[in-house]
Amino acid sequence: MGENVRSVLGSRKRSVGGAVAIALVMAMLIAACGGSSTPKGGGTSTTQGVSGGNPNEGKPTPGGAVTMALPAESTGGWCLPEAQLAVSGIQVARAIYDYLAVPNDKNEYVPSLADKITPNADFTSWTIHIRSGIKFHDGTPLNAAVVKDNLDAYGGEFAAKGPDGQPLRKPLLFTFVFDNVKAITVTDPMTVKVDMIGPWSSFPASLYSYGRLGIMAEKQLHDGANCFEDMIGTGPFKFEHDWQRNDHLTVVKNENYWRKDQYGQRLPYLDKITFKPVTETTTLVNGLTTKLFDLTLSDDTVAIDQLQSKVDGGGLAMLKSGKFPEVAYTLFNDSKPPFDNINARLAFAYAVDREEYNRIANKGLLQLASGPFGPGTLGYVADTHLPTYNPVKAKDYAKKYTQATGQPLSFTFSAGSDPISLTNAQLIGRYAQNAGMSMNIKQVDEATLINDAITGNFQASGWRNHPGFDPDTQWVWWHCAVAVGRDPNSTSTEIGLGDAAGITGNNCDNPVNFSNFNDKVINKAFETARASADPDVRKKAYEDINKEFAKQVWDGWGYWTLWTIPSQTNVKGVLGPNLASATSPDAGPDHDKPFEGLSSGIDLSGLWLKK
Amino acid sequence: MLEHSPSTVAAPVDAPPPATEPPPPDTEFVRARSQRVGLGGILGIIWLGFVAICAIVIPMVVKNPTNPGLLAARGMFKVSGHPLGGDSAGNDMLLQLAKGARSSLIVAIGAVAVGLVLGGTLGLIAGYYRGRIDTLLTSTFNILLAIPQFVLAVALVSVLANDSISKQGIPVPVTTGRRLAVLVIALGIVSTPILARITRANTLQWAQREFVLAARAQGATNRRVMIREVLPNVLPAMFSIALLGIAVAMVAEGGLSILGVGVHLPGVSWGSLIAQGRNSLQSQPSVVFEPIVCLFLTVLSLNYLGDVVRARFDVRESVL
Amino acid sequence: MRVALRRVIQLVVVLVFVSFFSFSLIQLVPGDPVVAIVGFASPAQLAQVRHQIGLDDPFLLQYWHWLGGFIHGDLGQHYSGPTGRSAVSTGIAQSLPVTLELMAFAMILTIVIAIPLGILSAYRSGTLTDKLISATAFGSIAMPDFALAIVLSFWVGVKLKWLPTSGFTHLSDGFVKNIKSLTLPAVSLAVGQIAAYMRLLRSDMIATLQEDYILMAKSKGIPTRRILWRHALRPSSLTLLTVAGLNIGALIGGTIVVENLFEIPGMGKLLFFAIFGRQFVELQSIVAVIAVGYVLVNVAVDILYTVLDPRIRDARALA
Repeated sequence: MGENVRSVLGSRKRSVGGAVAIALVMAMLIAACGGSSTPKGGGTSTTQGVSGGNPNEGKPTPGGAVTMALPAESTGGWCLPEAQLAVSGIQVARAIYDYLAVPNDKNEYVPSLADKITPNADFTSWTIHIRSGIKFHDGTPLNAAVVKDNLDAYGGEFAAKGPDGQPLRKPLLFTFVFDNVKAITVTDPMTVKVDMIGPWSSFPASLYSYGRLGIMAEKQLHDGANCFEDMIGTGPFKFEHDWQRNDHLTVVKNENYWRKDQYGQRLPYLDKITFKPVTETTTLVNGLTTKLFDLTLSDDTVAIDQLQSKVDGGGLAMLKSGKFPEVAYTLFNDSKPPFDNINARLAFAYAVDREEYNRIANKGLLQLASGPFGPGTLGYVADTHLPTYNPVKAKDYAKKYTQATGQPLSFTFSAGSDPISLTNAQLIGRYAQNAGMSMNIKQVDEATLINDAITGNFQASGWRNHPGFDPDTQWVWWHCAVAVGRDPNSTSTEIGLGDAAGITGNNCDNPVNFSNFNDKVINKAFETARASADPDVRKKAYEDINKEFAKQVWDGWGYWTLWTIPSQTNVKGVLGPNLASATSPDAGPDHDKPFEGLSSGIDLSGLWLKK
Repeated sequence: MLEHSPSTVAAPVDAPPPATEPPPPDTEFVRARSQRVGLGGILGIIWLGFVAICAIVIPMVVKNPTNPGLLAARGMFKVSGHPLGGDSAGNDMLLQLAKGARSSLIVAIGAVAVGLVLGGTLGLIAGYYRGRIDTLLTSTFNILLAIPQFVLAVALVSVLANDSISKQGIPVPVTTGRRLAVLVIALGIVSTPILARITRANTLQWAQREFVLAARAQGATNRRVMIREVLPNVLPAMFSIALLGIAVAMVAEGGLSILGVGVHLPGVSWGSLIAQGRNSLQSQPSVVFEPIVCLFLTVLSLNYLGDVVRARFDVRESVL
Repeated sequence: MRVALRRVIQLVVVLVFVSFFSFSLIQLVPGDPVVAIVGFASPAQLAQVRHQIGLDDPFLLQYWHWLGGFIHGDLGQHYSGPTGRSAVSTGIAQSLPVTLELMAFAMILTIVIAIPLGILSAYRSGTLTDKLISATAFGSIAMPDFALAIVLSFWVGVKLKWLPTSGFTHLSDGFVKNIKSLTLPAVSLAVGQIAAYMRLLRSDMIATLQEDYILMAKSKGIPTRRILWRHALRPSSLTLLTVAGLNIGALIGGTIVVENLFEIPGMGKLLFFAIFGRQFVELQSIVAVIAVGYVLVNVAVDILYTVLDPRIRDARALA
């Protein structure tokens, strides 16, 4: 399927038609950004590891209900192949659904609904064996057939048609994630074989896909119009149709969940969870201090800063994790003036005083990003020689740009409409101005921001993405297979700046490579890493990508996000139970520990309330 | 639109005139003091003049410091040379307030000007000619007034100022200038029926006076009579309502800003400053309170002067 | 009878025009409203939504279909991307009660505070008390409700920590919590209304207090309190009704803004999400629902007049 989809959609990149639809999913990437869609820097009080939170004491006691505030509403619902889930949506999905594989504390992918996921020698074929005895909330069993249907639905190959003759499931981004998949076959009732076009050593990471690839029951998959609000999974909690948009959504305990804790008690512990979308910082802080909410998930530095004093006073607990972060940055359009010229990108990178910015905008809470891959993620390099604040150099490069092009360096920065994004955009404008550039702010709503990115109708934009899961999951955003309109024999090192044919822009066939760069080093490194399971080879490849980014300044890296779980002091087990093993579905004490990044929420099955 | 003195609110569409007409309440406070402008009026004029001068002069004189860190989140009187401190992006608040005054004044005065021209003309015609044309125009005003005015404004602005997306999916952004124009037009449309009603009611009274009838008897054209004889007498009423209308339009722009459809960056208005600043209410309340104080004093001055004008010319709002 | 018929026809005409205006909003959207509503979608999906909204039909037919749907409670869909959608009527059904509760709360506060103040001010007319009350009222009218909301949430909520500054607790989660969560928004809305009510009532009562029957009651030795509350206030009920009718529009506008400041999930918040998500179909329906409600409230005020004051009925019959 992959090639087909890619060629069809990829070639129509600028023609909205179908391709544009694919990246709808981006909505979520910046949807809940609120506080952080523009670069901020950091360095003073960094939080690289996991800290804070309630100590997990003794044997958990089942029962009770909690209210969890989430940064946004997921108005589009949870028809997972099509959904546009931001972190809030993923958190709800993680209550209702399970995944074939999940990351452990070392960011390795461990079978979950599957018990074995094994590749062939050259990683061109993967065999997924499903764990037996698991049932969906509607009582139907989990088997190879339903897993195949799910994977087909995500890949855009689901056979069922709607009454209009169109395919019933219309996935967006996932068709690109799975464009390396050739065929999915059921080899026995509990085994699915996935054949690849090219080698793919880190395929299991994409079976998790930041927590978006939940396995749905056949009934939901076949539900044409109501798939988005008829959620049926195998997860620890069931959805019983209590969802009032912009107010609350509740899930209740799945009494027949397939996992037990290390004491033999059936998970989950809680009877009910009420999710409440809370967009305003003050509402969030007040709600936690007045015990209206039991816990939340937040990267809002203003809220974190205000809550910290309550935590220090012992009134609240707060688990913080700077591990496996996302990166917030300025997305350049590398295919259009002025940022098609590296002098303009360098001028920008040298102009922004990220240290000061972090103090002003982030209360000094965040860590300056050295590249896209944060601490803990493969490919992380502490010093990538990224150009950083230097007003003299910034002015020099701005002048160089003017000399080279005859144009003054001016650009428009697209920012979201929330107060914090606007403040941040104004700050960036000030730095740009100081370096002799002129910057306009275009205040747009979220849909326009994404539309602009997809259609390439922007110059620079506030952005946040690329959570620190397996770096192979970034392939979809940055890899270009074919350089459309480029001379294949070109030796120009300034990739993306056009070529002998004089074509600028549109030289990457990947419609979700929003920066529109086509970098041979990056392409090659992604391919090398996919072909090998050797950790050293992969590490080297991703470090190459990281350094290449710093060298070409395709984007203006800002800072790494800090995710936190502020909670009442009686809320325990926030990071979730240990993972399942190949032989036991339960959370054995010697099993792998759960992932410690919070950018896609937490496993809610381990939450319990201390009486 | 938002809160304002009851006299400026048009009567409910279907509400009959109350049998016992309440005496005009609004002028009481002013009239109790003086028939002249009075101290309050002088203070009001001084404040409005001050705002107007600041709005023109300050953006030409004051510049933001090059280093955003200097003023970011600094309160009043913390940094010398920047008495009002800075906002969270390090902009000088004095400069922001002056820019805000520009937009707020442009929107409010522009909207009322539109309302005066449209509503004044229509009201004059309706009141002068009476009969069918009066019925038609009055019904039109009533229908426009049947939608709560702020809701009408929100609806018009959010539709007209929407970034249009072409069939090719290319967004066509709305510029700050166009957004201002949309605000002026939308709020102008909203204020039209109110001003038209006032004008009509006053015209009805004046058009029957002896001198008007005399002028008509002498063969003056209707247009000439309307403009020369009736209009000058109706103007004080229009003017007093216009002053209140400016205040109301300014407040309405603030409400629109809270909903995210007021003035957008790079432009700022007092309303958008309040809307944007409320996130730092806990850490730096002055950023929100400064524009609130400006807005309050301006509305207060306009309301007071509007009442003074009304008291002076004995405009009876019960004719509504 | 003929009067009643005429009133009904008038009402229908107003409703038709108001609904027509609300419906026309989508036609004013620059560019293609469907693209704005759905965002990125395949041409087939766009066509499907266009058909569903009914934009294929001739203009007047569109209105006819829309009106039919509106009357039957089909207020269109809120679209989230090409596939997600939810009925606007559900959203309104959930939001409207919250808004009505907030408005009722504000109204009650207004009446409970404005009437005694108005009476006091009229009774003490010309004294320092009266002047203080009048000056405060004059100032209150100049304070925009959203600005007052921010000031209140800062002082009462953040500094004194008496009341929640945002968020809403449903009535089903406890009456006290519910009232607490609505107190600051209701007070923000009420202050300007109180001033307006009070000023009208004051001047009305000053006139009433000069009437012969009041003077006679005084001379009979009826206690002042009784005179004020029984004899003097009663004729002002029509005035109060007038001012209520006049101010309901301002109250609706204020509620929309204030809900957004306090995160109250009512019609204002719904309207905000509709604007933010470019949901023009939803915007049409919300505007139409509010406008129709406003018209009906005014009709109710009208009917109340007739009930309260037979003179109007007679006057109408003559007209």
